[in-house]
Amino acid sequence: MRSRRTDPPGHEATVPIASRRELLVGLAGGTLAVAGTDLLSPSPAGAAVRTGRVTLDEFMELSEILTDNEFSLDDEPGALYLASLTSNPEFDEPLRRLVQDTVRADREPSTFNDVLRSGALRTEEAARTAQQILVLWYSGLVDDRTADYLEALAWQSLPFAEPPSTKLGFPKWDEAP
Amino acid sequence: MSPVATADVVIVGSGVAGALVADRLVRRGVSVVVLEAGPPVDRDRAVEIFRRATAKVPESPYPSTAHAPRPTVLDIGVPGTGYFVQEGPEPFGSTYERVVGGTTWHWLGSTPRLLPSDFEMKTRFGVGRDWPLTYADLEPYYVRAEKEMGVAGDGSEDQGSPRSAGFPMPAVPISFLDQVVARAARTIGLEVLSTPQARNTETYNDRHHCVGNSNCIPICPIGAKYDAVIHLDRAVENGARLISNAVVHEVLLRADGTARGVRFRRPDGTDHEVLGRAVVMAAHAIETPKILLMSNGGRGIANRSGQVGQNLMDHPIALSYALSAKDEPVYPQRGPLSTAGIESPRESPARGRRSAFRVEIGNDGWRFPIGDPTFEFTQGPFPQLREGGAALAARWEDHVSHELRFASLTEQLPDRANTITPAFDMLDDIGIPRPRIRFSIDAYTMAGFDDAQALHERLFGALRARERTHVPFTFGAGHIMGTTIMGTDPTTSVADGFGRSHDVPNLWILGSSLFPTCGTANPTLTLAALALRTEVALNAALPGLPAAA
Repeated sequence: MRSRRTDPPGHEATVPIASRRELLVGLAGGTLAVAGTDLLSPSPAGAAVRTGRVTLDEFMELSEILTDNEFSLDDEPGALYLASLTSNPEFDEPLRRLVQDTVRADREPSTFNDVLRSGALRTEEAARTAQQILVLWYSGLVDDRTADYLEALAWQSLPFAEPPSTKLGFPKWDEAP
Repeated sequence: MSPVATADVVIVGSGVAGALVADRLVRRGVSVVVLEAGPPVDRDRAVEIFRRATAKVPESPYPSTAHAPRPTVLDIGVPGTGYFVQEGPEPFGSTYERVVGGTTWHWLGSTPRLLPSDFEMKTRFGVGRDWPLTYADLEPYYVRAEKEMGVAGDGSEDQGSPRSAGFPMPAVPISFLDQVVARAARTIGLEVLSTPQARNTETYNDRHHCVGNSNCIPICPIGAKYDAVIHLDRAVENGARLISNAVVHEVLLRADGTARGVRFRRPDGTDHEVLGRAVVMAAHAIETPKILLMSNGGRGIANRSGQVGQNLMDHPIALSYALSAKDEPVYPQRGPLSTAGIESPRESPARGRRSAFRVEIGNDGWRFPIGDPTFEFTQGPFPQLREGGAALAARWEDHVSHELRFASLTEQLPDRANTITPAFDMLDDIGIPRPRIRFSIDAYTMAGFDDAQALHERLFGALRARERTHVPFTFGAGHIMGTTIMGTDPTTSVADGFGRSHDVPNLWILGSSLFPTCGTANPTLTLAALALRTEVALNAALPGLPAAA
């Protein structure tokens, strides 16, 4: 890594791309949480919620709601994501509460905006838990391992691209898709 | 110690240079043994490993074995980690593979030629060194190398390197993104040219054409991109013997100073020998000088000049990102990783005072250097708090569809202080010294780095690009060069213009370690052309060499 003396004229850096290298460094040292938990400052656990554990079906249902039912979500990585969330004190209780307020609610929301309107993401803990669920599904990464690369929503949500390595590719790439 | 094999020619290293020479020699009836430190690679299995990797870096699909460790970009800049013993002042940022087929497994596939002026840096610009051969000397071998590797290109474009023959295949179509950049570049007087590349645009040598899966680095999933296994397989079919997991750590000398063969170590720690009439070092620009310096009881061989392991060079990358104008999506992630570039800065009028550079236009959006979009989701800015559903998917799609990336390859001058030496005090798991590297980037290169990013900024301006970012440090290009440079003077160079050692008459060196200067072209085609030229000279010299014993 090398410091430069000047920026090109007329330029203002807006995105912290330098931290891409820091990501690499962190991956090597195991000092960054791959699934992004380092983005999230630790939050107080809050009052204990007297709810049962979240089942995989409930987690999948919540995931589908948070993604507006736009994707076909696979419960195999889903089980890994659920296990990661429930083993993390930062997310375990808020996840139970989030499921209680959505999937188990009398009037179950059907979209992300419904969840927002219902107030289920009002607290910081709930909002960060929902964010983490989306990070997991989009990245396909959980607890320093890849749960699902080809089906990660970061790829599945791009109608013009294929996840690299599928061998499918494109008949042509010199025109707009 | 009885030898495990004897051959006319012993080749150390199974990358593109060693593979091409092995293939040619065996077809002439010369017996050949190729030794490779690492294991073979199964493509489908490597693709699976790539998919499971958490960081999609160039090394992701390939094994790092205990007996043949290799550097990874994940280690760079992390003191005390990795295979390299980095002694600074700056980290050396390039890596390579130690597997059968070498680094052609994860190379980009771009095959521009050097320019005629690149061979005459001292004469024309007063810096660096002149090569002991001219562009005209190498040109027929460029043609052969392009045919062997299967290069696709547009012969009607003037890339600055005169051609005596057309390309073997029609050019890879430039991407939609390239075309958007080309229109903008034209408004500021710059021309975007298609990049010659060793990937098939039609069935060639029984291999499928490229389908643009944007994964040339780290692995082409279908083998449409050239890799050295193609020539290795053919060499073996024709009688060459390939010994993998054989870590050569010494060139053996006779009393008269000629090379007798090599000694290698197995993963179990046992040592063995292969003898030959000629020894060819083709282990790339870190391992080749390391082996030479480890030989002769650690006193080194072929080193009258004192320059084995010196003059380490790379093409330090100037990297810039931006988003295209809101009304002009560019749709990256379609096509090979790079299909076009801007070549005119390679002939910068300031050359001699400031590094020239070559602008590579990326088709992979903001994926460099991590290789997949997880960064944006694990380190921000996606998703924002209380963002989700279709709106999140739409914002992500909008972002990626506008992603632009330029990477310029700058030129480093040979500097004897940039070195790779065996770290006799830092051994790997089978007791072989790791590479100790001292490396810095001088003001000449950094001036070109500044010029490259200024040009990127002009391009972004012409593109009305948003969120412009110029990364304030260099990245390794993966172009390791210059550690056994060739020249006419045995006191200032390691090998002659044919790669033959000045000091050990039956020792040849292949690869980019021979480059006296590095120009701005991706080096693989040039080192392949040099290897084919060496093969002719080596074959002609064989009858006069001592018998293997």
